[in-house]
Amino acid sequence: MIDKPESEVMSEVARGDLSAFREIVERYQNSLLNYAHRYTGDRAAAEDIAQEVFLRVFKAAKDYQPLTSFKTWLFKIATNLCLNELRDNRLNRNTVDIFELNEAGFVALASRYRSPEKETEDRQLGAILMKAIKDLPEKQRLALLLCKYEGFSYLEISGMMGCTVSAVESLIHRARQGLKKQLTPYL
Amino acid sequence: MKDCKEVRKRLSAFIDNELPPPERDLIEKHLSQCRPCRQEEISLRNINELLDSMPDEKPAPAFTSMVVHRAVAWLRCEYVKNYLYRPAVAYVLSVVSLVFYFEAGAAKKRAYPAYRHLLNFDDFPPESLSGVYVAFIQGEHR
Repeated sequence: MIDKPESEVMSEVARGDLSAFREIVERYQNSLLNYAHRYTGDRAAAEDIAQEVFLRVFKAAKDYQPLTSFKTWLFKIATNLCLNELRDNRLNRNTVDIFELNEAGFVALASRYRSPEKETEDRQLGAILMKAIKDLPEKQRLALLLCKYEGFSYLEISGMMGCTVSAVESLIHRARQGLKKQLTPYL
Repeated sequence: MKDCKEVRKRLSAFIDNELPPPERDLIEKHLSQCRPCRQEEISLRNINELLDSMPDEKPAPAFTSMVVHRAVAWLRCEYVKNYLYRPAVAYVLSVVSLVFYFEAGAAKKRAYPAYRHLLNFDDFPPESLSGVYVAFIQGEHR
């Protein structure tokens, strides 16, 4: 079955159709949650952000103009919320330095990122990657996540972050360099 | 031919297919001839592959329901707010409040004689606690 275009679904949401809103949530919950989780490194904060994004989408449905793609609009809201979350300093509630953990603590941290079928090594690698991403400056982190995991072009990211395309290119380049420094032992 | 510094600065854009074809061709040409830059490109691509191996988080099973529930709660609030902000409703509420206010004052006045009557009740022995209390209250009202 072919999905309805988002602009059509959003006009139904604007009329107060909750099943249309449910459809929007189901379409984007995975990518939004992962975006927020990779940005915050905190599952609970990520769920809060994802919920808030959808709620804002619902509230703004009447004003939604399909000038840009729906996904771009959605992630622009998410990006602003992530930056506000950082500004409010609420993200420090669950920060962990994996290099200060003992072995048991490390396994416990890694277990937060596991799927049951994955090996322990994968879980540890997941935790290390999460830590490396979280250590990047926030704008580098956002630009990289939008490009790498959500597949946005540099032009779209520049629109979301309110900067030039060359600034986005520079942010992503510096993010990759930062990750390279941290992750070289695992390459 | 681009120099190494310039090529390395644009390697991320090259990997992400963000460069226009002429520039892309120039960088490809440079990479085919420069071993250190080629090595840098490989290590950046390896970083990308490593990032691909990051496991995905799954939303909680009740996530959608929670979001929809919050949306419904917001809709209800908006409905009540919109209803209350109508001029006719505001006018009726103001009139009802005023009537209630004056009626409450009148009721208090009507109840006061009965209250006095209670205070004049002098069956309590003067030395009892109730007698002392009644005497005290009467003294206050005098």
